[in-house]
Amino acid sequence: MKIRIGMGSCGIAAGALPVMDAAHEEAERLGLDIEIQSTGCIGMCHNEPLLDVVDDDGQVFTYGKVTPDQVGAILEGHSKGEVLPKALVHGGGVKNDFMDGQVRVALRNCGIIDPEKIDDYIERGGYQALARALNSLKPEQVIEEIKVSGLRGRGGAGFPTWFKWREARKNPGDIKYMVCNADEGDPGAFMDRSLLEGDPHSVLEGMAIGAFAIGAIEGIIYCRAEYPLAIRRLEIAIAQARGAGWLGENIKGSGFSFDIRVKQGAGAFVCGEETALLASLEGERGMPRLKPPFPAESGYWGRPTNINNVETFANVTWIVQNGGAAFAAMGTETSKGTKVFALAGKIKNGGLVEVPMGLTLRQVIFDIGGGIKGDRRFKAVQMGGPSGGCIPEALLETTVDYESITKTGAFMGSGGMVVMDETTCMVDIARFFLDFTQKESCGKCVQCRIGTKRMLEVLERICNGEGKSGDLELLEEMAVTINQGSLCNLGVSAPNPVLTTIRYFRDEYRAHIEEKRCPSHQCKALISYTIDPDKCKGCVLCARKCPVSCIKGEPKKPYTIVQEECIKCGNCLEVCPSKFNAVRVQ
Amino acid sequence: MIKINIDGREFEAYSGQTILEVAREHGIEIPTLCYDDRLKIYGGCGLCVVESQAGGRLLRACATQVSPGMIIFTNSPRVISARKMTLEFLLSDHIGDCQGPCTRACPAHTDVQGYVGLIANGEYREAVRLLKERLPIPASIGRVCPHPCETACRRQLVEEPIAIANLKYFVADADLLGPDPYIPEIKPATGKKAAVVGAGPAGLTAAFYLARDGHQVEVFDAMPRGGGMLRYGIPEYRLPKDIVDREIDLISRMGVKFTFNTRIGSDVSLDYLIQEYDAVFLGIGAWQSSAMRCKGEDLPGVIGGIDFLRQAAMNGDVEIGDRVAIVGGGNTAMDAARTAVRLGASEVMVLYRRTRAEMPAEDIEILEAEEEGVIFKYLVAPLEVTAENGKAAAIRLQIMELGEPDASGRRSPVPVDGAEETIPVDTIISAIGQAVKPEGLDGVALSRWGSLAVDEATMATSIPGVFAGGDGVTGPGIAIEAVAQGRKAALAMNLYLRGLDMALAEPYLVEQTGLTPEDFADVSKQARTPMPHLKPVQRRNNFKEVSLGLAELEAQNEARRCLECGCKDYFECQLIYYANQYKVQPERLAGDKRREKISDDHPFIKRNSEKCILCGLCIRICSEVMGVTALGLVGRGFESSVQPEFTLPLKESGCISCGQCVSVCPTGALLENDPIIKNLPMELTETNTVCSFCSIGCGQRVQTRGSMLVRVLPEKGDLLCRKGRFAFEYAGKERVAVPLLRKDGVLVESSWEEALKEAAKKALSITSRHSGDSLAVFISPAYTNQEVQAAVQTARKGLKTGNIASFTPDAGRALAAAFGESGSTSRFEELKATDLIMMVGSFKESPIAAVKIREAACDGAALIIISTEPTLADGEAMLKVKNADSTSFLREILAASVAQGFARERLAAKTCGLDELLAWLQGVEAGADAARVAQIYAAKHNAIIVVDGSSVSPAAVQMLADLALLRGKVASPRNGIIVVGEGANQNGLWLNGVRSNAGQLVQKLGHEALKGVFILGEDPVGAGIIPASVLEKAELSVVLTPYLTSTARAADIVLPGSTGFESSGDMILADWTGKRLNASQNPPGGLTNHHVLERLAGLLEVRLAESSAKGGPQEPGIRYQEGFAREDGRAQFIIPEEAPLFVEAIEADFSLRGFNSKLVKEGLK
Repeated sequence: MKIRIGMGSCGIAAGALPVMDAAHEEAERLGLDIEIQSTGCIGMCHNEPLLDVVDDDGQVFTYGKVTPDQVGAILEGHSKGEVLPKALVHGGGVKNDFMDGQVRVALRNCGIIDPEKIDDYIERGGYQALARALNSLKPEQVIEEIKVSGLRGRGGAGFPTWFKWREARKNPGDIKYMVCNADEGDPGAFMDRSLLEGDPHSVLEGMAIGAFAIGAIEGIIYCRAEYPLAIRRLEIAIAQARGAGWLGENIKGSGFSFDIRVKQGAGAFVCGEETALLASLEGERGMPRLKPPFPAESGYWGRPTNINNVETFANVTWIVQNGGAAFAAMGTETSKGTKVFALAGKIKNGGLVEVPMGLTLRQVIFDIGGGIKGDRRFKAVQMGGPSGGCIPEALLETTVDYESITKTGAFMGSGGMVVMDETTCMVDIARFFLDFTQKESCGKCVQCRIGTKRMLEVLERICNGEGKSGDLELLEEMAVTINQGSLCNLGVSAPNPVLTTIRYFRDEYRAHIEEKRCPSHQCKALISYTIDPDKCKGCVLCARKCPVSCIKGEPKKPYTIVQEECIKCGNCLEVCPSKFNAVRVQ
Repeated sequence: MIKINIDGREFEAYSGQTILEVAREHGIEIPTLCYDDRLKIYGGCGLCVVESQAGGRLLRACATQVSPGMIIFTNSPRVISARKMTLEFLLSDHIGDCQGPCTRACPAHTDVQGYVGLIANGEYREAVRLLKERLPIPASIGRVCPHPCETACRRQLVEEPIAIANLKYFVADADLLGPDPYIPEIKPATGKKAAVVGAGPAGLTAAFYLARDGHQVEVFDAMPRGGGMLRYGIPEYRLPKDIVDREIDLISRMGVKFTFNTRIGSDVSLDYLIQEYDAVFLGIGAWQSSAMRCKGEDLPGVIGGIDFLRQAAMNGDVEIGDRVAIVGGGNTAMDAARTAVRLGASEVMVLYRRTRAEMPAEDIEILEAEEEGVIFKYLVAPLEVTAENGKAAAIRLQIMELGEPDASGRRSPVPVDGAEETIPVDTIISAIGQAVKPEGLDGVALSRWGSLAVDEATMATSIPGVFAGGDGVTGPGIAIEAVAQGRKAALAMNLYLRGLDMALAEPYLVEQTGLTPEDFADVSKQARTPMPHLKPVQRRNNFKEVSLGLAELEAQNEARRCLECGCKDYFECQLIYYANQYKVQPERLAGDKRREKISDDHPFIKRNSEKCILCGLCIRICSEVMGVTALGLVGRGFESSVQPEFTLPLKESGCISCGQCVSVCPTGALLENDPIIKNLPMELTETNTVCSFCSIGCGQRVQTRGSMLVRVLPEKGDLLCRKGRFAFEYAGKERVAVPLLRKDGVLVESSWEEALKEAAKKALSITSRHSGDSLAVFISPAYTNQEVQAAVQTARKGLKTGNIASFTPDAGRALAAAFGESGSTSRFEELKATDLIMMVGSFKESPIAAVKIREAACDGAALIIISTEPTLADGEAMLKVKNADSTSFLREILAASVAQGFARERLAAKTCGLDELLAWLQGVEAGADAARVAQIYAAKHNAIIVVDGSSVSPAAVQMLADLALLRGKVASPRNGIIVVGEGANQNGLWLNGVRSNAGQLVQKLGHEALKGVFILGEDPVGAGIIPASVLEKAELSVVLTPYLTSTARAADIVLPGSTGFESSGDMILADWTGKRLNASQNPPGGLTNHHVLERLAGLLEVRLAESSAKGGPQEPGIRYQEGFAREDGRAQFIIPEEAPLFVEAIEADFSLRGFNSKLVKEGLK
């Protein structure tokens, strides 16, 4: 028997450390000779901390939301062949749509191996792909294998990976670089972090394969400094890979030399843009440069450079190991393979899922994600990060592939899905995303630096009930100028959340502007809370919960809210017993 | 070649060219704010977007390379709207004032800040010239204008507004009453005729501008004299008629014909004018007094205010009796009341229906009327004029009280029921307003107020070719409004007469609002200068002008109080230029603006981030071109800003004060601190010339206005160091303007004639007493060839001497012994094509040489630097030798070179002294650095050695020549030595025969046969090259100098000379290219150096020959390619004594020493 505990950042945050301590203590107390393994995240973030029991037959029992005091019972139970049903979330006959609906390629090892042990990785077939490439393939054949797989960049733009590699290979130069973009910055996206924390070697191996293909001598992982655990595990993995001869001079006697180092980013969102990333790598301010020349021609220090995303590299390893055709067998005509999505927002089962391309949004959100929290009504899903777009309910049957998502006005991006329900105000959400991009503009292009600020101001005005007629047209006009005039994708796509919400939720904007009303009751300037005197029983609950004590009255008699003092926190509405239902919001 | 189509035209372009380059090459304008062809493409402003027929997003023209078959539109609606909104975005975050609030508030938009600033700088004529671009009658208007400019003046937030009207009065009088009043240049005659009806402010103004624009103008007026209301509506004590006459006289001197006593309609018909003239302007005024609308107002003894004033003006007297009541509270009422006092009325009352607070008359008028004894009765309205003997005898008044404020905010008077008062009077003057009386103008459409109707954009009336302006259009208003309309009409008429579109658009301007006293808390308070007045007793019974005018010092002090609200960059700002071109409306995008308080104290550069558009030009020119990184971008998003490194004050950053950032800044975010008394926005005259401080010869654009040297900028695409850019400030300081003669041991002022005669006489006396070469002449290397030639001829023929030298050290002369001629062997332009540059010295005093070297190194040349100090090119050096301080290091390089082997036979044929050299190098051990330098120098195919002549010793220069000879890297393309030294024209001195050894001459002076000295342009005493006693020992010392230098102070005769900004002529630069020095100023002494030398030569009976060919620019081929200049055609290896490698720079130029002491004081040196 072996147990695995998810020790990704998410698991640790949810309380995995005491669970781990408890496991050791209980195993000793019970005198059990079991292996206790620390792994990355399996993706079921909504059930963390997670504890897997792998019995001697290899059967896996996954326990969710495990508390330290349950650990003893679980271990004791399994030592007698019994399960603890109330905590069991998967395995042992328990169906789990979240896990069962997935096809795990990039995430194949996450939550299963100990990311700090290269042997765990090798045991699951690790470094066989690199060995295959070095021993039996020419660089051109590696590129061909990737071409056959149909793999497209998983960082956002979806550019064919083989094409970039071919360009970088074609461009002359003794010195070329292979860069891994691990500057994951989209709010609500964490697939790269999870991969680096859960399976760093698959990324290193993918980079080495790519380096072999294009002829690079050095690899750099540009990882955001906010991912300390990922960086630590990468450093460990790099050291181990060097020790095992999978990185460094003359790898496994192949004559091919390649090494990797980690560079920490300083927290600028725009550094996820490849030219800004290169500028940052060179020690300059992270500001996008003009393309052409593309990095494949003149990248890091002016040398041919290829930049791929973390997930892309994890896929590369799988493809070279299992063949391009196997990958191409999954997905749709133009979007092959699987894609990892980070489900966040008002969704029941938040976490990381990897599914074949071609599922519908409804399948991902409802079948795998379990639908909306509190069974409220789905309103929209934001895809493509802060500058992506909001896809409405009417388009839930859209299949998840690059082209179909782009058609909605959103885009695939790195795979973040922020789900919104009827309590989300779409004007407010557009404001939220624009506020993010506006603050992250590098300041170079006028349109992005000032334009997004001006759009934000109009949205703020609308949310504050000061919208005027013509505002929507002005927003659209500014959006066009920003889109047309900005150099990099941050600016080009920054207006997207506004444009898509105007496109799909125009009425909601109109309600704000013309009727000074927020239909979702989110914009504080546009709502007021009142107490229905006929329904209020004077239970005093609301008055006690009011943080500014603006609910006045006497017990057993109807209370009233002093509007001038009310800060519209909504506590009264929340605490009013449903049997009274006396608090109204307008 | 690639074929591309831009805006429907086919062009051929090279592959690799950008759309912008191709478009500009063919004169197609594409706006840019962040582009500079010296810098890497940035693509930040997004203004250069163009549309491709292929579709897709707009393309950045600056960054998009042309491709075959491309079809581009640079002006499509999509492009225009993108550019327009981009500009609107920029302007929505731009804080400042394009023009000061004063100028905006003036109806005629006179450039108030401009003329006030010019007055502060003592540039009165320039001030009047500027005034008259908008206002042809400033002396009159300065006296009577209620000055909306002052009402708007921001100095009120400190204490009181600037006394703008008084300043205008001052400067206009200074010009008008002076010997040569300003008259604008008249444009070539158009042959068109214009008639102007009315010689009031509107008509005079229209006539002035029509005449200026080349049209023939005739003015008709019904009254016997000109001036309109200025003459007949404003009393003499406020505006003396003499002033009006003088201003009219100036207009008639511009060719305008005046016909008086001719009333339109009765004496001449409008139809006649329309037929006889190509255009007509109607400035008929508003001469009809408004009725009081009370009983008895037609009685004798009741007179309209304006009628009363007119009669007083025409006749000098009006019968009014003792008791006079004036009804009304405006300026006309005050004028009438005070005139009545002066006509002898014993009791003058002003009756006004509101209270003093509501009175529209100017405060000063009310105050002065009170001082003169006028009685004010408030809250009364006339009910009836009662008669006695058929003549007005009393006025019955309704008592009023103030009611609620009306729409305009004024509280309206309401009658108090039954309250009345009757006052006995002899005369009642009704001064409650005037109206237009459009008689005799049949066919001209009227407004609903009965005035002439015009199109506001052009002032055109309903009849084609007939325009109107002034009170006749607006009803009674202030004179400056009439002036504004007269000018606007004249400009439209000019376009009409030339058959052009008449529409004149008001420019878009950025304005700052919401300022409070706190914003000016750090401005020190300085009270407004009061206008001196006659005391009431001095003025009560006469019509003498009450105001006495400001004295010059008062005016200058007052003008200096100006807060300089308007942006100094207004006339050069690219942002506002494009904003107007694209007709922006940024108001719709109004939002937050970045606020930033700058407390920089850089002596030359002023920063204002609130005007910064983040184009990044300053940052990039600093790092990419100058090799300095004093500036960078800080922060993200909307809050991003340009800051000095580590957000230090700029002065404490790596800034080298070259001002390049200011030159490229497209807005007023970076500005020079102009070294004039008051910095102000103004259009400047520009002269292209060359910097004469060192021998690189950087092109300068010298900007001047009047006698002010305001700014020096690098020539387009060129660079300047801080000396070339900012040291000109010292060209104006400590000047000698008058010749000085030593009498009884003291220098006293003299005349040109006396001083020159004295110099010639004494020189002749010496040369006649001593045989040959008894005098010495020293010439500055900043002199032009023409000046040098004049000096050399004067010396040889007039002063009978061949002792001609220069005190300023010239390192290039060290090469003469080796090659036969002084100076560099290569050109700067070869640096970009050579393989290796060996830079010797820090080039601290000629940093642009280091920049050129750095640029060549960036382009691929290898670079070795030998310097004990940091240099601007350090970042690009493959090897820097920091610790070599003696020529023994060069000897080691030579030894290592010999050890590496060399072409002995070929060398032996071309050189002398090889064996001696080899012997001298015998046994010399080369250190690692020396060996490496020798090895790189040998390995590179082509190599140029660039020497900092102001810090490298002559011995070192000679050994570098040895090295170049040894390796055969001289006298062929891309190989050789360049020596940069002090003074632009060292080579011109050599070429024109200035070849004596200064040191030896100084030794001889006072002994042997050397009895006297002429020092032209240099200050050897101040520079520490010679002690003052050398001059004292001499029998005669004559110094020609622009400045009162220590040398001048020790001389017998001092002749005022010209600076490089006051001389014209040719210079031969370090690399033997020529450049022209062009004067932008006149020397204060009245004579240029050349003139002085000419006159001196004349007195010595020498006729100066015309400039020889050697005077002109030199464009030689490769020097010494056909053999060296020594007699045998061979070069000589030199074996110098061991010496320091580097020496202290000597600053021979007087003005530069002043500049350097400022740098030291500011902690910049």
